[in-house]
Amino acid sequence: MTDQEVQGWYFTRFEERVPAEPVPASAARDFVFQALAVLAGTLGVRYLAWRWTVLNPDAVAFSIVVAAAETLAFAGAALFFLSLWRTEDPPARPAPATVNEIRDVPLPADRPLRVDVLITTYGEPVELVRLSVRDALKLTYPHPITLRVHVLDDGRRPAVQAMAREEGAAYLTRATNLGYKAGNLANGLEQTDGDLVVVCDADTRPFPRLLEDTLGHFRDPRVAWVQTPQWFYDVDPGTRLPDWLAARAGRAGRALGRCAEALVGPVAVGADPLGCDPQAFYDVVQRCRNWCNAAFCCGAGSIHRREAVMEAALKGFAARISAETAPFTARVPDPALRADLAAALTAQAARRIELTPFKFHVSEDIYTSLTIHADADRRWRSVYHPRVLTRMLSPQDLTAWSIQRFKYACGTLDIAWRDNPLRLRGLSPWQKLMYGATIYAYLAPLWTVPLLLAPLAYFFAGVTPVRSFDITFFAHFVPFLVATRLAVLVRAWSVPTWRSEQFHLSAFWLHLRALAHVVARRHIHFVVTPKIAPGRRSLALVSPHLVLLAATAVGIAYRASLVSSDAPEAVSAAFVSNVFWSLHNALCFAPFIAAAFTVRRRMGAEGVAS
Amino acid sequence: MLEARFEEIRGALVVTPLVRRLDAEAAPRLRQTVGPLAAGRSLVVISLAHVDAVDCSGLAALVTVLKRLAPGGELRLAAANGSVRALLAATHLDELFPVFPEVAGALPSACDDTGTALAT
Repeated sequence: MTDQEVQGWYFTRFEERVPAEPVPASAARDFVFQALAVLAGTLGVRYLAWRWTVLNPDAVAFSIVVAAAETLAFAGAALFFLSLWRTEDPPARPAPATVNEIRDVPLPADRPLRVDVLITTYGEPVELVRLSVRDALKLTYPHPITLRVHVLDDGRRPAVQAMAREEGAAYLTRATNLGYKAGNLANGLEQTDGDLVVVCDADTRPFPRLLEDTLGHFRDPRVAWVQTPQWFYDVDPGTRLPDWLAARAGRAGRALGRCAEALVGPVAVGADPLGCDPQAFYDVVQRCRNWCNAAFCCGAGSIHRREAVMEAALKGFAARISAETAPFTARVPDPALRADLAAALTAQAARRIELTPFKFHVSEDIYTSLTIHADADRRWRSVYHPRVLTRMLSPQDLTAWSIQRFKYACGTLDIAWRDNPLRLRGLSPWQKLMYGATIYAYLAPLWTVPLLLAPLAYFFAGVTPVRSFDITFFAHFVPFLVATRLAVLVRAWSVPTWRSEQFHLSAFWLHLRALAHVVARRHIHFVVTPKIAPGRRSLALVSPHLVLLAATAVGIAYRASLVSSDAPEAVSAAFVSNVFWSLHNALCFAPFIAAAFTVRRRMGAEGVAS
Repeated sequence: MLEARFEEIRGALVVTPLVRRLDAEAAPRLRQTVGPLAAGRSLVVISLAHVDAVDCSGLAALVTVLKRLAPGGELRLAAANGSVRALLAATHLDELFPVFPEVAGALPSACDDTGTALAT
């Protein structure tokens, strides 16, 4: 790649960026986290046990709603801490030289490995896909290997076909767009024959070592897939706190910044203004799922054993056929007649039902992972490889971010609705806990919405959810809060989490809509996450937040006019507590709202991004 | 092009793949070669007499072939060895693909049993 060729893209200036190495796993840090998590859990139980005894007798229903919301939130935190219990990285194993080194049953004639790189595209700019194809063709391997790069174009574009030919990649397309990305991948799998398959989005650019570093994991014949972290190399890294303070307060500022970083780990000001950096998810959440075989596949940047994907597909296919035919055959008492009917119905159902190597579902990746993990006959394993080995582009504005999050939320809730992991017998208790924690997190509006609205009830109606905000309240609540924050800080050491927490809280409205959507059993439309944004303002996405903030401001003014300066201590404590909580919420919303007002950079030179 | 023998026997298409393995490597060719010939037929018999092993990709290719048969059509397997039967059982597809010890048993019973070779 010459400088000439990547010029004109907004991300050109990030071309030379290298991903940070993951913080080494440490048993000591695990232990400190576990101790803090147990402390936080104990203090939380103590707080809640007390909390339910001090419901406000003047507003019983309101008190119960808020106490219930706090209890649900605590359950979420407890699940989250349990899901982060241990960090255990997979041992590095040498890259296999031949196919028999990764097979359970060896082939009679051994041969070099065959790997297919499948790059799915639909409407992305041709030149953007070209960058991905080129990088895929540069993959290195220490042994002879058959590497084929395939562009799977659901857009059926002659320009993409020409580009694939120029670069030396294969071009595959199909007559329909059935199943969208999952269908596109299924078609790619049908037309290729590699032992292993690398799944890439149109903008996924592998680093040369992707195969070298990961294929060793497949020496264990039970390993079905390896997921590597998704790294958005175009996310604004922000300014490190010492530098930021130095620019404002000189040497004293720098010293202060250094002290702060020594206490809480690296801090970057203004980083990731769109809240899309998935580092916390990969470096913390996924990494902590490795030890109990619950790391799930996230699509781009994953490598799959073809046989595992196909076996899961066939089993899923058979299960759906039998689910369709069983209600009819069960009613036939005569065994011979039943067998005949079953055969006829089975053949009929098999025509209609699609054989889908990746589930035709909005959250195809997590759903496929769940199915493979839950296969009790095989005990497939998944590996989360902690080093970044691909780079990709981040969603470019709040609209793109929201589409993606809405898709994740609906998809995950829909899985819980259809195939509740808690009821899948093939999963171990820890796997159930891990999948359960993911699903539970999407129920957040059940507690965030009441907790966001509670201050308004106080400002306008003067009701409080506890008898009084006195010293006993703070003595119960503050230690729990501090222990929780410390536990998060230790677990996510050097990985920023604040931005994702802000955006998670701000997503209350989006998550509430997703919940309503799934409960109403409405069809979930598949929307391709736009990677290349035209630059849009997205006021509608933040109008609930603006309304809430405006109401809070009016409420504070109104209540302030009623609370006189010589009010009893309990009254002013309630006022101050509610103002403090409202300010916390406003602070969380601020970057989210700012993101909606920001029109992001464009793709680049018009000639390139046509 | 999949190396295979194709015969027309009593209205049924009998396909005898001349490969040792119906696996990921053979699957795309199986789809391309057998799919069009099987389209619209009511009975296709795949003889696995020469096949030692089938994997999930091979089985998936057979599903694709089955989907092209006429409504009510059947795809039968003949001369499948123990490992193939085990795979069918493990994937719960034994009901979809009836297995017969030999080709003759998989064909409809009729007095006319002269086969016609189509292609090799």
